[in-house]
Amino acid sequence: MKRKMFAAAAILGLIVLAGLSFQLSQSAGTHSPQNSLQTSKGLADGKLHSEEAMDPNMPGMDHSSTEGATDSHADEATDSHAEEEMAPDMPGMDHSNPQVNETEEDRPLKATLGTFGVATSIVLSGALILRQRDDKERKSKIEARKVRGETQ
Amino acid sequence: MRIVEASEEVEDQSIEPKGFDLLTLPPVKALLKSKYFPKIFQIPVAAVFGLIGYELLAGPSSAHDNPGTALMWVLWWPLIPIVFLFLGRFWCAICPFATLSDFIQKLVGVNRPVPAFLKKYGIWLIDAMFIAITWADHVFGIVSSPWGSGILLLLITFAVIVCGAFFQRRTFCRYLCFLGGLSGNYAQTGMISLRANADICQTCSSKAACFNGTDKAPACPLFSFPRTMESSANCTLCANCIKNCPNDAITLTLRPPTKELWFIRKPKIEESFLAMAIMGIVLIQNITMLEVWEQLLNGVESFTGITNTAIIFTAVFAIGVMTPVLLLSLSSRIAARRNTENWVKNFARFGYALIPLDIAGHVAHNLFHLLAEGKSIYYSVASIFGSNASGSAALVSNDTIQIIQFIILALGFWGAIYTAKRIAYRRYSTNSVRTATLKPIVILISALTALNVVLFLLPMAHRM
Repeated sequence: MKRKMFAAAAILGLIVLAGLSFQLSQSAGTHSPQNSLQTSKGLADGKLHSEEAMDPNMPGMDHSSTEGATDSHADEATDSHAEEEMAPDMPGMDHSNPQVNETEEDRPLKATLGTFGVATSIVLSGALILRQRDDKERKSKIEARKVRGETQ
Repeated sequence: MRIVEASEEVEDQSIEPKGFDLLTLPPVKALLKSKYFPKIFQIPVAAVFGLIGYELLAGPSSAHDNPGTALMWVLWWPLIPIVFLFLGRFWCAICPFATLSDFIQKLVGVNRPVPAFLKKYGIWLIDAMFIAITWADHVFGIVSSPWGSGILLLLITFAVIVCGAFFQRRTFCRYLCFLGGLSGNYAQTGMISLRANADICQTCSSKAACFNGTDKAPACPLFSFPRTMESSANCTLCANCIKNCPNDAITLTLRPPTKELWFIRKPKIEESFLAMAIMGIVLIQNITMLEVWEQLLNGVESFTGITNTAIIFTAVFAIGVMTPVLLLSLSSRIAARRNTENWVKNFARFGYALIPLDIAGHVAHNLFHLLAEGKSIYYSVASIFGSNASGSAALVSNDTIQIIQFIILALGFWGAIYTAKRIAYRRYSTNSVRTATLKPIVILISALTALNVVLFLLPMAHRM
């Protein structure tokens, strides 16, 4: 049973790792101009499935804060199939997504993870110190009790 | 004017009767007693959430293309209330944050007692956090941005690490997690209930092994004592108590949805408030998706002269969230004139009756995302492996989705009305008081259902 579990976990881990490494190799130039162009081309060709397919009103698709990209898809609101039949360059089919053009400055990954890592290290170190102090106190109490027991 | 005297009313104190005990089935008992439960679920869930976190932070910057966004907001978020309905808080037993908390605790845990203020105001903090996160989502676009979602996950992760490092058990899950608050409310409609057999417990000589833990399994992570437990709000079905009980006194029974709400003996105003706030939040989520939303914003802008969208949204959001709270307050005041309790107690008691409608509205709203965009999960996850699969994201047509939404709303309406009736019949012994108390509550439930129906009928605008 234990071996089977390990095997299952290992397979799952391998799948995740394979996906991650593939993603890493692909996303190395995610924000490069060439990539942006590819993205735009893909959108124009209608090849990027997700924008045409996913409902912008999903809880992840509320772009109320991204003005300027609004209302262009109002016509397709009630028919998810309509967009596939429309020419990608017709009015109302502006697929430009402001977030595609997010720069590294908008997503400071290294700084964020660095801050997270430092803060976590501080918390863990603090907890470790407290735990060691508690352990010492507990041991000294146990010893004190033993001594008392012996003297009585 | 009160029409009855307090002495006329005697509350029925009977407890929730038990249904079929699933632990009498050998495979179920074996699974729950196994040392691999719930690890067998925790490990894959943690792996998937690790992938989601990575994708959100380092994956494509567009929500459309990000598998993390699709997995989190199109798959997980719509499914989670359905899980609560069928399995109570079981998600909390396999939640990756809970797993992380346990790991941190083993690593460096100091195990300090939970601060008194958290015990006292924890649910209010959860209420406030739930409202704040929903507000922040609209104002800062947390959900719409993979990066924003990733930051939210990081913040939650940090809070979990702090709580796991310094405090006992799963303090974060019990007293701070906003999803925990939501799941606590919804779990009371759940179809599985874990309780202890009081007769056996009376003869128990172990020192609360179910609560304190043994060598077999850790203590109850949410500080629940099965022997006195009357609510599933703080039970994750982690099965620790089942493993620890030396007398096999724990039962895991099946029951109809919402049944627990019929037998609430100590209603809490904070739980009722959360139920009403959730109702408001779901209404706001629906309204912001309507075509008229932009017109409403423009109208408010031209009327008030305020051009800052965030300020306008904040005002509308506050009104939206508070409207169900104020409506229940009004109904409770009217009901209080006809029964023996003040309006606050009526508010606390009958707020629970709205939970079935809450969960129905929540599920119906999110079902749209799951069914209209479900295939996008496959497309975006497949893209990780280099696939260019594309096509319509819809699993079923919009008409079908709308029919399912209305069926769910109808079930929620029926559940809410029936729960209100059971609460009134349990609390009040005379028919005149029951009827008089129920009238404003039934009107409120009907009005909120009608509002939901109207919102689901209106065309929704896409703003991309």
